[in-house]
Parts: sequence; structure tokens; C-alpha cells
Amino acid sequence: MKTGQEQSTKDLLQVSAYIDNALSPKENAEFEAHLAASPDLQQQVLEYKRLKAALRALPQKKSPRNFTLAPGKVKAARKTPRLAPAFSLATAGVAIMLMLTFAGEFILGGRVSLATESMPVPEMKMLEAVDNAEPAEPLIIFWGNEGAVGKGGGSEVVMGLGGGPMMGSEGPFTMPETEIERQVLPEEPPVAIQAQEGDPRETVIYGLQLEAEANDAAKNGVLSRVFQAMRGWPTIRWVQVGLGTLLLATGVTALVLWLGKRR
Amino acid sequence: MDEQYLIQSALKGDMDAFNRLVLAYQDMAFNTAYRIMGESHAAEDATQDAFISMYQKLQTYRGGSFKAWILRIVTNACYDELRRRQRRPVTPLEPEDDDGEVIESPKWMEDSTAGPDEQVDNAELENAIQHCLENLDVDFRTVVVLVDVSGEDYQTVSNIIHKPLGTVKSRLARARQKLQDCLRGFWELLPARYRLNGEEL
Repeated sequence: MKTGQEQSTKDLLQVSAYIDNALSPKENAEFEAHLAASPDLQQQVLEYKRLKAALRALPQKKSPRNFTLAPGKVKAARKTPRLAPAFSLATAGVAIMLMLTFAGEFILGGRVSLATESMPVPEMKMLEAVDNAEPAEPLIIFWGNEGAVGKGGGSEVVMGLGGGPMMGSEGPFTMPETEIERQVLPEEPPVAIQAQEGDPRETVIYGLQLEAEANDAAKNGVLSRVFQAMRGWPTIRWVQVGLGTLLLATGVTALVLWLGKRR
Repeated sequence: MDEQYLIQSALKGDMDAFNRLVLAYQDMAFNTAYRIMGESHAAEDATQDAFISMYQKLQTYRGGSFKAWILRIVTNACYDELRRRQRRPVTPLEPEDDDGEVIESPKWMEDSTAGPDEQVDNAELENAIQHCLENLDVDFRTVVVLVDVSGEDYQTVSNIIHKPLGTVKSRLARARQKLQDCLRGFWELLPARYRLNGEEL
């Protein structure tokens, strides 16, 4: 007689289905023809039937107690936290994503890492120019001489820009536009500069800076450059900051939930 | 017992109606859990979890066999309990006598209708079968318990374990063969009704 291992898998499947009457009529007829010619298969059928009978005859275990529910019990069960595993999983997922962004940045090298490199070229050049520029003496124009009082006036001798000789009868002299353009204009928006007390320069010149104000502007320029650099962060940096924050939040929540569950 | 009426009442929040359903099915649920888990305390935990889960999921019952629906929940509870016990193994609680010795044939195994010899034989057979069941992979064990112990048909078992019919047939055949191999040599020691003495098919 063949043992279980020696019987073909198909035979075993058919014997098992046959004793449960789970074969189709056609399969059943074919199997019975096969069975009639095989004593081993007949023995197998008998053994399976005996096994099935023994399993069916196992005593039914009575429940050792009643499993009826009290309302409070169900409420407590509903509160059972199942969020801790979810948050742990989320923390792990976020950590992996964060590592992937760092790995991606490392692999891609300098293409995405430096903020200034992601800026448009003219903007970069402007920053370089500011870095390399020598602090220039502010252009100061003394308006008029002792004889000139008030704005817009001028003596017969031109001492600087903005003035105009009172020569001729065609009216005030006007500087050609091309010459105006050649003048270095500050990058800062024009501000009204008041002459300090006691300063011999009594007049107010629009569009010019005093030295102290120029220093303040330089300090503000550093802050503005830092801020500008932050604004110029590539998207990946913001993603990393976001993932880091999320990692912290999910990690702390998971920890709190696990600790609460243990109590 | 009007099962449908009790289910409808339970759905409306009637705890008494729900508990009447629990009382009607708790033996069946515990027995199935016991055969899958192989241990009384574990089966108790799984059964309790199953009934709590049943109360919480009652809204998802969409008609059909209520028994099969409960069996699905019990089976899932057993899987959960087994996973939990794999993570945190516990020492099985064998019945012990006053001296701390393990009782091989505890009182609850006894069949009061059988004579003393037959009771011993039945207990031996049950122990042997339970031992062999526990040696099966849980997926095979579940199928053989549902079909051969609980008496469910293939289609119902397929619905309970969410597997195709072919998988159920295959797992059952393999489980039976493994049980057969495990019990080989044991049958001749058992009562005459389990012996194959030139039986006809």
C-alpha cells in the first residue's frame, strides 16, 4: 500500500473532495472508475473517511463561562488604542522618506544643494557685485555758493550737478540726458537727506545718502541677503524641513500612545 | 429564538438581544477557537475578543448565514490571538492536580455516557488528534477544523477565510494527509469503531 507521500497530489485532492461529495458529476464518475481499479486509492478513501469521522466525533467543548457583554465592557473595548502601531508605522515611513531625500540630494550632488545656485543668473551676479564693491564715498553735491540761497537756484558758475547757470535768456541750463545716465545712482530708493545740524551743507539733496545711512543700508543688506538666501532654498530643502517636522510629530505621538498602552 | 429579530434589536442597541445571540453561539465559537488555538485560555481570550468585535461590527452583517459570519469573526480573532502570543509567548496552562502534576486526562474530557475503558480511549484519541492538529500550519488547521470539526461546506469556508474554493480544497487535502500521517500507528490502539477491518467503501 502506498503511503500519503507516495500518492499523487491529484489523487489526494480527489479523495479528499470525493469523501465530501464535492466533485462534479463528471469528475465523480471518472474518479470512481479510477477507484475501482486501484486498491491503494480505496484504502486511502477508507482512511480519510475514518479520519473525518474521528474529527467529527471530537467532543464539543462547552464554553467555560458566559461571554455576554456589559455595556461598560464594550465601551472600554472600543477605546482600545489601535493608533499606536499606525503612528509607529507612519514614523518609520517618514524617516525613510527623509533619508531618501538626503540620499537623493547627496547622489545628485551640487545640482540641488546650494541655494544661490538655484537663483537666476542675473540675481547671482547682482549679489556678487554687492560683495565685491568697494564702499564708495557718497556723491555729495554742494548746491550753490554763498550767493545761492534756496533750492533750484544756482550761480553763474556751475559748481555741480543740479544747478544751472543763469546765463543767457533761454532759461535754466538743462543737462543732456546722456550725462545724467552716466551718474552713479544708489541702488537704494531715493531718500531725502537732511543736512545734519551744524553741517555747512544746508540744503537737502534728494537721491543722495549720508555716510551713516550708507552704513545702515549695508547692515540691512546682510540681513536681506540671508533672507533672500532662505527664500531661494530649493524645494527639496523645504520638503526636508516638512518631513523632519512630521517625523517629530508622529514619533512623539507614537511614543505617548505606546507608553499609555503599557500602563 | 428568532435570530433575525434579535439581530435587528441588537442593531438598535438592545444589549439583551445581543447577549441572547452570544449565549446561543458561545459554545460553537469557543469550540472552534479551542480546536484552532489548542489551549483553553487562549481560546477563551479569542472568543471574548470575537464577541466584542461582533458587537462592534454588527452593522456590517449583510444577511446570509449568521453562524458563518460569527465563524469568520472567531477565526480572525484566533489569528490575532495567535499573532499576539507569538510576540509574547506564554506558558501553556496544563490542568494540574493538587501536587502540581499535569493531569493527562482532565475531568472535562470525560464522556459520562461511556464506560471507564471507553472514556480513556476517547480521551487518548482526542489528545492524539489535538496534538496532530497543533502540529499543522495554522492555515491548514483552520480549514480542517471548519470543515471536519464544525461541519461547514467548502463554499462557506471559502467565504470565512477569504480564499478561493481551490485553495480550500487544496489546504483540506494536505491537512488531512498530514493528520493521517501523524496518526498512523495510533489507530489500532483505539476503539473498534475506528479500526479498518476490511470495511467496504
